Parts: sequence; C-alpha cells; structure tokens
Amino acid sequence: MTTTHLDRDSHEGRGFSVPLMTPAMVRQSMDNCTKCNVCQVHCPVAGVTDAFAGPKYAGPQAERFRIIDAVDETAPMLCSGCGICTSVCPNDVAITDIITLAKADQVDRAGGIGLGQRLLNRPELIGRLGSLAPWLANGVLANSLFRQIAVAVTGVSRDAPLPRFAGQRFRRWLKHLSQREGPQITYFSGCAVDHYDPDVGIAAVSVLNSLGYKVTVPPDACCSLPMLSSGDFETARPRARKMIELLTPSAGAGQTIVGTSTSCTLTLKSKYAAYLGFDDRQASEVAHAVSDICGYLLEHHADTFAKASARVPKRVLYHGPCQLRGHHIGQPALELLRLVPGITIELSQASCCGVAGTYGYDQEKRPIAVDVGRSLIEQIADSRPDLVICDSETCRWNIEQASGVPCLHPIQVLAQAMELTSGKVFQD
Amino acid sequence: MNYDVVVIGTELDGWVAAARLLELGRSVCIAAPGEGSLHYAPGGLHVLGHLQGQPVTEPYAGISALHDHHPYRLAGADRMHAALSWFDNSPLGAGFTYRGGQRCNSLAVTSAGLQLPVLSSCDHQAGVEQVQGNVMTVLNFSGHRDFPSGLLAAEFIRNGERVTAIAVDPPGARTDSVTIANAFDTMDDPGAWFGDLSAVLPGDTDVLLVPAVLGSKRHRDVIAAATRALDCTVLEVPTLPPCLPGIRLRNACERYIHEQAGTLRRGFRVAGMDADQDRVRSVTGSTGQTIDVSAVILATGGVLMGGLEVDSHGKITEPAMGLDACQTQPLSKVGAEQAVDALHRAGIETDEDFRPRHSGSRPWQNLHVTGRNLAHWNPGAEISAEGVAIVSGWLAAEAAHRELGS
Ligand code: SF4
Ligand code: SF4
Repeated sequence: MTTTHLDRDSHEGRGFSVPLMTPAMVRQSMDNCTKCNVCQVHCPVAGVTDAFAGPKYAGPQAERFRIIDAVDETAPMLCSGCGICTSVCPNDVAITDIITLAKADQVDRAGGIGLGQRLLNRPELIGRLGSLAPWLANGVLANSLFRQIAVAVTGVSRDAPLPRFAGQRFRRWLKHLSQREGPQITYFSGCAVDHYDPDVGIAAVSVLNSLGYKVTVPPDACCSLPMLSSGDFETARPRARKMIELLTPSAGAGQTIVGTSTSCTLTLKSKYAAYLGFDDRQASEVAHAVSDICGYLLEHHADTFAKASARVPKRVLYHGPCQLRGHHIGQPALELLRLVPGITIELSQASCCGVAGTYGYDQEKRPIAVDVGRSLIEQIADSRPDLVICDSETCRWNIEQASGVPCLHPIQVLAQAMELTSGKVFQD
Repeated sequence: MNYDVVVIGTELDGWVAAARLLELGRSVCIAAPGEGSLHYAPGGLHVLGHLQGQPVTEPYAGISALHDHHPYRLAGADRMHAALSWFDNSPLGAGFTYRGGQRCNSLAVTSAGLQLPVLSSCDHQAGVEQVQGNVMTVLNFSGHRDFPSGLLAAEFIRNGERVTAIAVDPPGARTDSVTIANAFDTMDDPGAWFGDLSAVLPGDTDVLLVPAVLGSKRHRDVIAAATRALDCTVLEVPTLPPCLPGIRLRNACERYIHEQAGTLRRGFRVAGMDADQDRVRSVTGSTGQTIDVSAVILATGGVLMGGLEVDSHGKITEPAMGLDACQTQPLSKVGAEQAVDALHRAGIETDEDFRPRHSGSRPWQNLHVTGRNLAHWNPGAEISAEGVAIVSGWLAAEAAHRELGS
C-alpha cells in the first residue's frame, strides 16, 4: 500500500484527525475569497429580500472592515445561518461562521439578546416546563390569545411552527428497554427527541439495537446551538463545556456518538471550535467521535439495509436540510432510502425550507423564512407525497405545518424497513 | 459504502462524466469542495473558436493544428464528435441548437459586443446572423453593472446596424443578475411586466436584446411571455459573471445526476488517497472521511478552481492526488500575457484515455484527469472551454466504464 499526502491517525484505521477550525482560522479564511459571487447566487435569504446584502458582503467583504471597527451594520443579523454559502464556496471561505462571529460581536455590543430569542435559545428549558404537564402546555400554545400576548412580549412569531410537547416519553421508553450486550455506541438524542419527537429517538435506538449495538444515551442536555447561532456566546460557553464533559466518557472509550439532529451533531462536531475556540484535546476527541446517524449507517451498514429491508410502498419527498451540508457527507439518508424496496423518492428542489433552526420563529424574520420556504411548500403541494422526509426537527415541524403532509426523520422509515415495531409510526 | 466511480469536482467535465457513468449503470459519487466554474460560463458550447488569434469555422477540421497532446488530439475527431453528440442528445444539452450546422461554428453575441464562435447554443441566446439587419433594441436594467449595454450597442452601430439602447428599472429593488432572475422566476405575470415595457420600446423594434437574466428556472416561459407581449423576437445576451446561462446548465446537470440516483457530496476536498501500486483504492477528504472507489475522475478545474496550485515561485502542483504537473514555460521568466498562456497550458499530461502517468511510461489504471486540469490547451485563447470539458469528461467516463468491466 502506498499512501500519498496523508498523516493518518489510528482512528479505526481509516480517515485521520483534522485540526478543528477556531475563530481565528474562521476569520482568516476571508483571505481566500476571490469575489467569485458563487455564494451570492445560492444564498436563499438574499434571494428573497433586499434587506440582506448576501454572504459575500456580510461575510468576507465586511469582515475586512470589522477588524478595524469600521462597519456599523445590521446585515449579519438577517443571515439565517443555513450554511449553504459555505458549502458552495469553491475557495473554503468559512462564510457562515464569519457572519455568526460578527453577530456575536454585535450582540455583545448591544448588551445581549432579546427575550424572545432568549426563550427560543432554551429548548431544553421550555421542553422541561412543557414536559411537566404537556396537556396544559399544548393547550396554552394552541390558544391564540396566549400566542398573541406571547408575540407582543417575546417577539416569537405567532405563526411559527411550534411543536407539541411529548412529555418524557423517549426517556420513559428507554428506562424499560432491555438491551443485549454488543459493541457500544452512544446516541445523542437532543432536545427535540427528549421533549417533542420521542418517536425519532425510539426508532434510532431500535435500529441500532437491531444492528447489534448496545446503546448508551447521555442525560438530557442542550448542545446550545440556538444560543450560538443567535450570537449569545457567553451564555453558551459554560453549557457547551458541560456538554463536552458529558460526552467525554463515550468519546474517550472510543465510541461513536451518533445523533438524529443534523444541527446538534454539527454543533458538537465543529461549531464549539469555530465559535467558542474549543480545540483542546477533550473537545477534539468529542468532535471527532460525533457522526450523523445516517452518515454512520451508510458507511458501516449499507449492506444490511440493501439485503434486509422490507417493502415500504410509499411515495416520499426527501428534503435534505441545509445544516446537513456542514457535515460534508452529502445526503446519506437519501442513499439509505434508495436501498429500501417499494419506496418512490422525489427530491426537494429547494436548498432550504426557510426555518433554519430558530430563524423562522422570530417575528421579524418569519416573513423572510416563509418566502425562502415557498418553493418547497409549492413542490409538496404539487406532488402530494404520502410523506415528507427530513433529517432536521425544526424543518420537519415547519414543513408539516406549512404543507399539511406528515414529515418524518429518515430513521423512522429505516426502522419501518427493518420491521421494528417499536419505532413504527405510520401504517402501510 | 463504496462507489464504482468517484468524480472529484463540479466542473462541466465532472458533471458530464458522472452523467455518462450513471447512464451506463455505474454507481457514482460526485465529491466537490464547492461549486465549479459553470457559474461564470456564458452559455453555449465553445469547442474551438480561435486558432493563433484567427476565427475558426470548422472546429473538427481545426484540431490538426493543435499541440500533439492537446485534449482534442488525444481524443481524435471521431471520439470528439461522439462525445459532443452525446451531450447534444442528453438532457444536459436540452434546448441547444446548432445555428451553423452540426460541424460549423456560428457567432454568438456577447455583452461587450464581441462576436464569439460557438458550435451550438441555447435557442433563445442571440446569434449574430439572427440579429444582423434587424432593427434592434438593447434593454438594460438601471443599475445593473454586469451588462455593458452601451458597449454592445456601440459595437453594433460601428458595424452599421440600427440599434437603440434603453434602460428600465429592474423588477425588485436589487440590481444583480441573480436577484433579477429570481424576480422573474417568482413574479405573478411576466407577460404583464413586459406589457408595461412596450410603452418605452421603440415601435419599429424587430429584435429585443435583453441581458440573460430572465429567470433561472422558468426563463423559457418568461421569454415566451415577453415575445407575446411585445410582438417581437426576444433574445438573451449573457452578462458578465455570475452568468445565468452557465448557472442554468449547472442546475440541469445537478437535476439529472439526482434523477439518475447519483450521489453528491459537497464540501469534500480531497486531502489524499490510498493506492495499491497503480490503482487508487480510496480517497480521503480534508474532513477525514474516506470513500472507497474502483475508479476516480479528477475534474477539479485546474488553476482557476484550485485543481492546480501555483506557488510563489511559479511552480505548479496538483494538490489532491499529488500528480506531476507539466509546465512548458516557467511562469516567472515570461511577460504577463505569456504567463497567462503558460498558466493555462500547464497541467497534467495523460494518455488517450485521459489517464495520467504513474511511473515510467505506465499510466494509473483507474485514475482519469479531465478539463482544465489537462495540459497543452488554453480555453481562453482557443475559446474551447465547454468542448474540452465535455470531450474529456465523456471519454474518461467511457474509459472508466470499460476498465471496470461487467
Ligand atoms: S448562512 Fe445561509 S442565509 Fe446566511 S449568508 Fe450563508 S447562505 Fe445566506
Ligand atoms: S463563494 Fe467564496 S470565494 Fe466566492 S465570493 Fe463567496 S466567499 Fe468569496
């Protein structure tokens, strides 16, 4: 064997450890910009509003002046953080991260963020409150008078696709689960599964179990992404550190940490370093252990799905969420779904559904988010699939609310294809 | 997961290679660090427009004058023709027409008023012969800097044509090509918008030339609506980059790859490979993922797109696979104009199946190099960018397919 160009690490004998990108490296990447405008072409927000100058301007271009404190701008706040610009840039400019760092500076200067965003930034807290009495919380959220008051006080959009509280159903299910011994894997469930979307977690653990893994689920905690992407770094910092400590036992034992939320896993993989500068050994170990669940399954178990899938006679529309692009793994869920017999897959022609995390929840940004997502919702209305499939939770809630078509995580379909009844969420 | 072929890069040569391999039943993954140079392409299939500064009428006949190792010489006229015909009949070439017949160039109108030899182009793109002798109006959107309509009109007038230039406000508040195209894609009734335009359009207009920004998705419908509303011929002229015609072609490529169940991994910059003697086994990206492969096509776009790197001494290297780059002239020793030419002509030398040398005279068995990565051609001086991309991409795909066996 000859190997060119690589210093490989012993990581499963394949791949190698990549140094994490820190804020200094993010900022420096502006020098790679050749002003080719490719990012401008693809930015979904700049495509629908003139109020946002677009990634090239808000990113590398404005950055030159930011370092000498010469810009006074509102532009970066309108960026949704979708990451599409970074994924299309031919020159490795970390555009989204440059803009997010600029947002954080602005937040700092303004002395913090508003109440609405602060609320949105605490999905686990809202989730826990809701979990105490989901029936009461759901009733209150459904009540339009309450929502109107909430809009006025918090700035959270009245029409935002708020999910329904599910209580602690995933954790309760997990408590009663008996697992066989097997290779260990860690499943990072995230706020969405713990409070709103328990079926996704149940499907994930069931699929992993049936592939022979013994699954560890760390205690319920938030990765702090909403805080990071809205620029509230200081509140996020200690929480992110705690999160790393929580995952260190798994990473240290050489386990892979898989997650069903593309944005949470992306945060753990690269955003702690890019935004908070966490590039120490412990943080790197965790970052390198984390993998999107479908990426992991495709890499290690594609054969099983190719052989052992049951028919799933559904017409589905797959929408790869924007945040998946930051993983640089393409659309592994799509490749897995293509192995399932009986399924007919149509692809979303949109690069973003508009909601981009919590962006579409903000009252001011909601109209932009709706415009960004319009083409996807129209495509769904035209083709009327049985199901929409999407890896990211806020996108699912948004798509389901806007289109009226049920929206599932790919792992739920894979659980179905493996005939796992515990993860079953739709009928043939 | 492994793939029969990994195509590295989203240049036209990469899209073509991937599309062809998928048609041949191979599994394909396109892995690319970002988007490629189709965003700058003015549309049209430029095969061989100039030789030693002189316009070329018959590109196939012209190839004998090219360097022995020019990609077209490696291909030969017959295989070149096979590749270009494939493109013409594939969904990627949908809407392209030969104005000068299958083997002859016609001249396309460019935004600077220059006439560019092109083998085929989209039917709604302005050709010189089509517009000559007609009463023309050139439309520009106020504030749109990427379309020098004055230059275009002046050039026509210099040639004795009757031309008026008019400017109107663009739909929407922004004045860049992409935003204007978005506005046309999403406006309720483009016919009504052009209906309003008829108030300022000189009444004797036969042909309206518009910047090629009438949408990125439904531009055909918009152009048809404009033709109906104005009752004259409406033709597009490509703008300066970013260029909608190139972006539309890129979108068509991506759609086709998805339809054919190909895989697209963005953000994948090759950091190295594992090889077993003269066979590549896997490629690894800069974020640490490894993809197992049976064959690799390196379509990373040459110096322009970072597929080849130039250091401060003018030395050219191929960063992904560590291939030897051939440099006919040292960049530091020549003047600016020659330096650009030398930069273009530098690249990877290959055999007729576009396989680079491994050691001695032996080629890599399952590695192919295409497009701007190849040595001994200059897309700017020859006006041959799309032709070489399609020919080398298609032939590399054919070779990889043959090599993979059944
Ligand atoms: S992250 Fe998304 S919204 Fe923000 S500049 Fe980039 S493409 Fe535009
Ligand atoms: S795509 Fe990258 S290089 Fe091109 S303008 Fe945007 S940031 Fe600059």
